[in-house]
Order: sequence, then structure tokens, then C-alpha cells
Amino acid sequence: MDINEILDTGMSSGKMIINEQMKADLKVTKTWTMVLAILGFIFSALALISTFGSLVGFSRAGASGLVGMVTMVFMLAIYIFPSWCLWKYSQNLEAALIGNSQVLLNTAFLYMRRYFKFIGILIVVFFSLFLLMFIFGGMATIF
Amino acid sequence: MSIEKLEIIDRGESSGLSINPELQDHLSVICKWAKFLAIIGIIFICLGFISMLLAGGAMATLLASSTVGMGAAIGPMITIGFLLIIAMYFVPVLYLYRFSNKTKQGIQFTNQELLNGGMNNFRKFWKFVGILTIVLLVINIVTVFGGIIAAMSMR
Repeated sequence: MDINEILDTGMSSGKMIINEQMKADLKVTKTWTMVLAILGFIFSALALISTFGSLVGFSRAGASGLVGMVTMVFMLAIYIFPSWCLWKYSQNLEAALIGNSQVLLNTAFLYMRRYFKFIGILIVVFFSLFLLMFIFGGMATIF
Repeated sequence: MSIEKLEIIDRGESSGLSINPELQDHLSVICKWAKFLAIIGIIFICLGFISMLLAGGAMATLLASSTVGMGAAIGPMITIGFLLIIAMYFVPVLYLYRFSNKTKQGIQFTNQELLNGGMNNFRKFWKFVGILTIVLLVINIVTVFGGIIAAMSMR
């Protein structure tokens, strides 16, 4: 097979590559996602400490305290998941760029995809809750 | 000979990493959500701008009518501050939107240049968000410590 032919088929069959410029860009994203992930972990840890701190108060409050605690743990999970995704993204991307591994690169973007999906769904849920509160609040005022 | 040339091409072009179908799928999902988030961001910035016009105007009038001499100068300062905050939130939203658009088109038309442009905006987005987070964090910490020092010195 001719060299030119190989190149041509490579280009026309929808094959795009990660060139040097893109590699440099990805390297920068890796740095900042890692910073954000670490900050997220630190804040999650602080939240965890305050959760344990208020554990005593909740246990005295009984059933309503349990609800509060479950809510808090739930909130913590919501907070920690995106940070974890960013962390995995930066780890996988770094390894992919060093070892030129396609599999790791795909994994990195899988985590980035999860991150964006999670944030997107979270925002939709919060908006729905907000809207519901707005509607019920309005109804409560009217009746 | 042909193997040699291929090796040269490999080394010259990249490291053998490519945008394969799996990665394309990930990228297009990321683009979809990124666009959604960018649009939500733009809506919020518009709401912020409107509330700035309403509240800022009211505040400026209130301050200007007060007996404090500085009142007239504070009004515009508040407006400028609000505008700065809005600009600060607008920049990452713009990068996110550009990333989403360019990458989506790059995948759709298999255009390397557009994809590069998209990734460049992706980089700018994360860099800006990272720096913004650190700056806001530092401001918060300074405010807390300043408050503590002020409270201690008042005693």
C-alpha cells in the first residue's frame, strides 16, 4: 500500500488524532482538574468532620435527627462524587499522556463525561425542586 | 521502507493517540451537557444583570439621598463591582460554550482544526475555573481572618 494512500484513508475515514497542541491543552486541564479535585476533597473532609460533630446532637434529637443525618451524608456524597471524577480524570489523563495509552485516555474522558452528566442532572434536579417549592409556596399563600 | 516512513509519520504527527469511536461518544456527551450548563449559566448571568440594574439603581438612589457625604461615590462603585462579578462568571461560561460548539462540530465534520479549537477552550475553561476558585477561597480566608482580628482588636 502506498504511503499517501494510507494517510488519505486515515484522514477521510473520520480519523482524528491527538496532536501536540491538543496534548499540551490536555496537560493544562489535568493540572487544574487535579487542583479542583483536591480542593473538593478537602471541603468534603471538613464537611465530614462537621457531620460527625453534629452526630451527637442528632442522636439526641431522635427520629428527626436520623433524617437530618441521612440528608447530610447524602449531601456529602453529592459533593464528593464530582471531585472523585475529576481526580480520576486527571490521574488517567496523566498516565495516558505519559504512556501514550489510548485505553487510559478513553477512561479519562469517561470520567469527564460522568462529571458533566452528574453536574447537569444535579442542576436539573435542583431546578425542579426549586420550581416545586415555588409552586407549593405560591399555593400555600393563595389558599 | 514503508514501515520506516510510517514510523516517521507516527512520530511526526502524534504519539498514536487518536479520537476513536469510544472517545467520540464520550466527547459528544460531554459537549451536550456542557452546552446545557453554558445556557443555564447565561440565563443566570442575565438574571444577575437585571437584578443588578434594579437593586443597584435602588441602592445608588438610597445612598445618594443619605446624609453621608460619600454616598454619591459609593453608588457607581457598587455598580462597577457588580459588573466585575458578572464578567467573572461570564468568562468561563463563554469558554464552555465555545468548547461545546467547536468540539461538537469537529466531531461532526471530522475537522481536526475545530477539535483543537474546542480543546483549547476546554483548557481555558478549567484554568479559569481553577484560578477563580483559588482566588475566591483566598478572599474568603482573608475575610474570616480579618474578621477575627477586627473582633479581637475591638475588645
